[in-house]
Amino acid sequence: MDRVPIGTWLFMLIPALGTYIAAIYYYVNYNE
Amino acid sequence: MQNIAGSLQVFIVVYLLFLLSLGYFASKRMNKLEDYVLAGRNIGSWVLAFTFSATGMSGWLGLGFAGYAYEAGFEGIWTMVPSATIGILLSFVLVSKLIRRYSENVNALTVPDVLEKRYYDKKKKILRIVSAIIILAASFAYVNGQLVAIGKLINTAIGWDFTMTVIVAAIMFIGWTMLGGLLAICWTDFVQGILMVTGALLAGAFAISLSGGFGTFSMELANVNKIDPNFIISPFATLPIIIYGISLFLGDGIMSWVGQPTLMVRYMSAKNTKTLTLSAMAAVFIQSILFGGTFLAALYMRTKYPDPSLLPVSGDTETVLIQFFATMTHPVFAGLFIGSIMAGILSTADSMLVMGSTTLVNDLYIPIFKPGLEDRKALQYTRLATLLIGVVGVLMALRGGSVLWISWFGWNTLGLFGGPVILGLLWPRATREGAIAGLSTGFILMLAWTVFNLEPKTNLFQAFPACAATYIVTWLVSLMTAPPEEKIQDEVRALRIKKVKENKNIA
Repeated sequence: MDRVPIGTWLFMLIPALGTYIAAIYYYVNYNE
Repeated sequence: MQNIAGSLQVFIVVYLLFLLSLGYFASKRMNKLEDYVLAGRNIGSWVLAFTFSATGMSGWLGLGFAGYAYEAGFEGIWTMVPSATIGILLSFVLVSKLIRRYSENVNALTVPDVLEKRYYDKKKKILRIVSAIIILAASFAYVNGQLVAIGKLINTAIGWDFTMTVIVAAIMFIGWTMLGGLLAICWTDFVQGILMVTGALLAGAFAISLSGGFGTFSMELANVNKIDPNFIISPFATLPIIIYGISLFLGDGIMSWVGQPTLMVRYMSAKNTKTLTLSAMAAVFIQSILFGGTFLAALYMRTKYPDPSLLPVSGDTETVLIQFFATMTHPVFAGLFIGSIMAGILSTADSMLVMGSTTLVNDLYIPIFKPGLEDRKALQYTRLATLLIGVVGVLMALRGGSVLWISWFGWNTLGLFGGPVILGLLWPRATREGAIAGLSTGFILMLAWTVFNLEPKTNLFQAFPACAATYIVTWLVSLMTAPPEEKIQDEVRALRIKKVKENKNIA
């Protein structure tokens, strides 16, 4: 392989983005 | 290195004195044990988020994880991904509000307190003793790991003697912890957390820019993999890597975070439950920056110095991030950046100290030998216990060792509390016998993995079997034993009903 596979970067990026969205959702909806 | 030694020495001395002075000011507010142990339950969102990360991220990140990334490449993302994102959010969502409410409802100051009350163990105190032994074992290991880390850091950066550094650093952080307890720790963590985030953010940016952009960086990493196949560039490279990775992901990245009593104490010290929701969001962002920056800088060091023997200052791979800051950045900034790694170390060491000393005095000594001891005396004894654990930590640290594995042992051992605490707060049916069996089995497995070095033989990361056992055994034994009395089950059910018994600060 000539470079780091795209799957490696996605394995980092997708959970990160998903968690950011979930964290914002948690803040907006469960801020009691 | 010589060019940064001067500025770094000045920075370190001024920085430590500043933190010590924060401890002094916090000590003015210490009137009773709750002030020392839970900062008077008055911590706000941002301080909480920074203290969360500063506590969770120790020398393990700046030294241990950086060295791990340098050696094994992207294998590390199996723990980085959940530890920076999912595990953090789950910890807040599953644990934070429930334990904040429950601890106030039943007037609990520590996690063993919570367990004793939830599992009606006041008479026999078996659960309290088992928890205290586990916390103490982990605290000693953790303080030891952080002291080794600080010794390596200063020794690498400015060449001070390892032993001398360990002793001086210990005097400083034992000092501010003894003075100001958790409040001092939260204040110092806030300052140190900001420093850590700044350091990590700039480390990541420097790494990409020095590599000549993301594309070149990616190609250089692939070249390292060609020279050394142990440096992996795909977390899915082989089946054994995937299996080990999943055990790391679940054991270290999820279960050790959600089961962490040091973080549970942070939740208990929050001003109110509202504080916790904003902290959750902030903590996820902070963690991502800390991990991302450290990881990229460590990988960059590997592309520039493909073999440890080529590293500019020391062949000890745990010091790669320190060497990165010392050689790649301007001398004026190097002090600040290296200070950020030091911040990570000290902010965890002091938290472990306060937790260990609280356990020794509040969870063991007072309930067993001196029930009803007056608060001022208890505070005095807790301070003495802080000193005792610190001194033992210093003596253990003088032998040196791997920051990664010593810290991992401490962290994962503490993660064993997940089973009994989370099941206890979510499931009314969880029983005292279940909690004792779960916690003990987890601890025995943890010790077995360490003593018999089972990790290479089983290809499973130590925390996975141990932490999973705490949930499974607690659950199974609870089902086999008599359910708790209705009053306790009702208290647990009430926790999940919004605004029931909301804490005093909101009311």
